[in-house]
Amino acid sequence: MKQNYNFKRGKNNIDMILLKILCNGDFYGYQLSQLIKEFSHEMISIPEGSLYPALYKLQDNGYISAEKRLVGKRQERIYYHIEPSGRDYLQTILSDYEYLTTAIQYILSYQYAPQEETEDE
Amino acid sequence: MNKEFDKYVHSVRSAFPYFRKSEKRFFSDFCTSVNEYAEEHPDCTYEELETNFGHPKDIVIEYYNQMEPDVYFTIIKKTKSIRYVTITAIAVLLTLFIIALSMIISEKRKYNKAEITYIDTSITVNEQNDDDIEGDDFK
Repeated sequence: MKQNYNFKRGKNNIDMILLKILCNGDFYGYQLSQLIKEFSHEMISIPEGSLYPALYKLQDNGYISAEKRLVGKRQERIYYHIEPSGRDYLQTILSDYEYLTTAIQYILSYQYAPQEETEDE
Repeated sequence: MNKEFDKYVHSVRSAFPYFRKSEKRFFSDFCTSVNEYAEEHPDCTYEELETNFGHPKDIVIEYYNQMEPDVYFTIIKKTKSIRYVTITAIAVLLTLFIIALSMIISEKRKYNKAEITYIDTSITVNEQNDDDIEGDDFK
């Protein structure tokens, strides 16, 4: 069992969602945002302002790669592809996530019962 | 291309306090996404784009929220050095301007105080000598 969870790693949720979707195939930015909405039954939407910086970070760390593909005559799309190191990283953040949710569940289900003080007189 | 798309994309561009390489990269990808939506919905309005992609200000806030703290420090450092260079340049220019102005004023004062002096030049023509010279020539 892990000693403690670093809350700074909370931003990993977006990474986790993106990497998990990219495990199913190569997708471009707009498609990813649409898939997140669809897969979460419209419960989650990641704004473009968060989506692209998260993709850039994953790309800079070598977890995903990007490839420009020409669609039609002029339009270009950047398709993102998960790399083997990205799959390993996904496993790490998935276990972190499970650890955190379990820990939070423990806290939420905890019933605090103050012990009655006995007065010895 | 939809006019509403242009208007929306322009307001997002204007909302950025800086427009460095990284912002350009994001803006280009963002435009591609908005473009994809606009192609799917050719009659979309500005409000519709705002509902789907967010208010321009919120997009910029979201973008900077995703950044690592060291990026903030780099931006702050750069802003500080730009401010320092600008202030120094303005101070130097202002000093040079003041020096030039004071020199002009002092020269003008000197000019105003100066007394007008005239140089009297008198030409004396010795007529007798001239007649002698003429007389010699005729001989």
